[in-house]
Amino acid sequence: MANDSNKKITLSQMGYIYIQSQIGVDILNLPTVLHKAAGADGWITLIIGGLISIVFVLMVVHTIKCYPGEDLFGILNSSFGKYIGSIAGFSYYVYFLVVAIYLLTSYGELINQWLLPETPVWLLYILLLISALYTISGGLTLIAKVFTFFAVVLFFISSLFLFGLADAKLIYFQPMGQATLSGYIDGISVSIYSLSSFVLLFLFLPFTQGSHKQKRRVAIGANCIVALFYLYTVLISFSHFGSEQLQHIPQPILYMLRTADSPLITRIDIFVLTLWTVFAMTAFASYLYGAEKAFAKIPKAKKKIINVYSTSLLVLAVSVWGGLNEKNIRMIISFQDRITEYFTLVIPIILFLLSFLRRKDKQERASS
Amino acid sequence: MGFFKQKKKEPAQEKVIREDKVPPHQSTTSLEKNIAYIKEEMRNSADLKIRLLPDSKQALIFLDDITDPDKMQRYIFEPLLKTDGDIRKIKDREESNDLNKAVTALIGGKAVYLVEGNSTCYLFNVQMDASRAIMEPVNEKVIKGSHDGFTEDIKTNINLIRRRIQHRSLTIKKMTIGDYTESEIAMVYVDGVVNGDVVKELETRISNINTDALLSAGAFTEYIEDRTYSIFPQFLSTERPDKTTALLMEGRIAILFANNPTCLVAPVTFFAFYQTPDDYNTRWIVATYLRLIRLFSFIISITLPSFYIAVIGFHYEVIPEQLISPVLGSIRDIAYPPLAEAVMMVTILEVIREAAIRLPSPIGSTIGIVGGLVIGDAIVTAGLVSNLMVIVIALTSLASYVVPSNEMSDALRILTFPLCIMSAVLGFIGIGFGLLLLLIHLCRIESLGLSYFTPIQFRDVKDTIIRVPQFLMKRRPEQLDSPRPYKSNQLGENNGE
Repeated sequence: MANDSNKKITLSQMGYIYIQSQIGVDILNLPTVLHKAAGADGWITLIIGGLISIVFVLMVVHTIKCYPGEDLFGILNSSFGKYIGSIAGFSYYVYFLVVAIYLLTSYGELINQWLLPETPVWLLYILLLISALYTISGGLTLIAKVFTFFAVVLFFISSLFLFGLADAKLIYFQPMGQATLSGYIDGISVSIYSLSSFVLLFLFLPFTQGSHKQKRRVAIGANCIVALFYLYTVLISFSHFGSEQLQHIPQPILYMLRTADSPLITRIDIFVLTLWTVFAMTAFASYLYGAEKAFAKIPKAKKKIINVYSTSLLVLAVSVWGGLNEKNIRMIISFQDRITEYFTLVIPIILFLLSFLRRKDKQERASS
Repeated sequence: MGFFKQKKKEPAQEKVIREDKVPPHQSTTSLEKNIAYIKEEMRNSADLKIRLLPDSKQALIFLDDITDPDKMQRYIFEPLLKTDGDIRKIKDREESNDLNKAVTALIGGKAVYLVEGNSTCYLFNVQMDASRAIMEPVNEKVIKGSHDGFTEDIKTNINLIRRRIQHRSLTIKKMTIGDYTESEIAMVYVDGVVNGDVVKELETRISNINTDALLSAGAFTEYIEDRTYSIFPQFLSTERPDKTTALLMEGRIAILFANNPTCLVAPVTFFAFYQTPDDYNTRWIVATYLRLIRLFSFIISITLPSFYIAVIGFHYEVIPEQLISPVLGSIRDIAYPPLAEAVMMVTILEVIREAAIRLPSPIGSTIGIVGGLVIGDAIVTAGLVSNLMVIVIALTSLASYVVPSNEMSDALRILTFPLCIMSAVLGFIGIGFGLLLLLIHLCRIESLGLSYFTPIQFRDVKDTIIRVPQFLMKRRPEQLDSPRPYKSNQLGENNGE
């Protein structure tokens, strides 16, 4: 791991890192999940969820502002004290690990279902792990460069989605406002979780050049780009399939592209899936980076080699164990669902509230 | 693993003293002793000529093969006649009391004049000039633009650059590398445009080179480049002074070598290998079109064979309906899997290429016909390789030769192999991972500590992937972090960007 403390990334690089670490494999499922929760109103809940996520981004940015020069673990330590802070840091390690495992296994599952049913899935895990390790071993600057470069893929894929508009029908959005309140709440929480990478801002924002105002603007902008991309995906799949079909289709976007006609090549879904490897890798790499950062903060984890490889081996081992095994993977996913709430919503809110206390602290100290 | 380690004895070796660091050896007043010392030091070399002048009181010593008799006549003997044989009255001479310095001068093409009863050595520069005429480099031809090229003579090369940049801030730093060869190199840059940190970095790296002999520019890069284990060249080599000048004015550093027409330029980006002077001499729309063609052929040259393998091996569905039956027809009777076909064809092509380079040019074209036409046709009729594969490989190698830089084209052709293997194992996903790793690797490479691949800012696209008109290129490349980021003095509001 290169020394990140003195190397800083630029604002735009930070934006791209945020975008790329947010978009993972999940988006392919998002339209179906939203539809399950809120029916034809799923896209409205996504908008609301997107707006709420902006509030969380603001909170995170504000918290970081109050602890200049400290990343997530420094902030946890200074907010909760040394012991509880270390425990919180370690639990974040677990959280990042679980998310990384989830991303890895869901990518393996996706490719296994769509492209390579015969290939052993651990080969895909290893390749994705190697790519991610290669990226993060260059430190934050390399992550920034790689993620910035791969932003091209986002534009390319977005334009491929336009094929779906050929059969789009606006009538599928009708009738609006039919979902129940609990449906709305479900939809909104799904949307917020799908935008939950704002936790990663704790890791990247402190190492970004620029004033606080600029950082806030870029973070919100990046968050909006991701939310709009989600909205675009969801709107296209809703308008292409309609409620009845959506219930039965797990990855509507891919099905949509499968049937799309183009004169040069058929089966655009295969190309999109290949390109999606980029998103899978970047999202996975950011969480792996987070996990390794967290692991480095655990006392006694001094040897760097152990640090890098133990985390990755752990991820690989659990992924192979979970893999395509229905029962094991359910366990991982349900565990993740249970803890996500605390790490993405509860702890950031607590940190935000504590930061006000600290500020008062500081002012008093300054005046006295 | 200390258990297996055996202590190795350092092999004994005498230290070589560089010519410019030899300790002085005081000359004596005896002519005979001085000559004997010089003879001894020169190992009685056959080309060492000692010409004793009348009554053996004076001697002229020189190396026969590197001195010019004409110059000797003009600078030594003619003036000597005019001054009645008194060497001290001749101008244009150096003096020294150090015999070792005299020996060094001898090697450098000077003549040493010794006088009995006088311990001073008189040195005259009578070196023979051996340089070929300035010609256009064979491997970097352009359609329009200047047709001169660097030669083996470093002075001529510096001359060619100085003539193009008429400003006092053009800085030239000379160094010598190699204890035996003492190869002269010259760092050339425009002070005030170049990033000072990069110059310092390059200087420290050069001063850390420790070797007996510096033989080529390629060896030189291996001593100082950032990533020796990468397949991508991190120094741009060129023999064109116009290209060098353009790169210098962007804020890069050129390194010239004595006895080598190659000029290395650093730091460079990946895209610099895709630029030619022609781009700036044609209309910008045409240049942009050609740039895009080159970029396209870059993609073709590394992915086309692997794409073919993936389609045939994994994803038949990708082929449009009307094409399926011709494709199937062509590969039905082929015994080998597509990967073996591809490897076979690529190897054959490389063999033909290598043979054509080594052979003299009249026979070379025969090889092209035998290799290309005969083998290409026979291999399909024999059923070893499908004719689709022949098309694919031929296109691939053509595309790899589009790159203006020779080293980059070599790198691309080798990169085909790992991608082919990946795609034979995992289909499109394999290609995806291969390209992913390749691009991460490219992002990782640095050239003299500056990033090699990413166009960091959007405005850098203006002179990389496309070429916009000159008046829109107001800035130097962002990569270099030049102290003079704008290309002109006028920075009005309309001129800024």
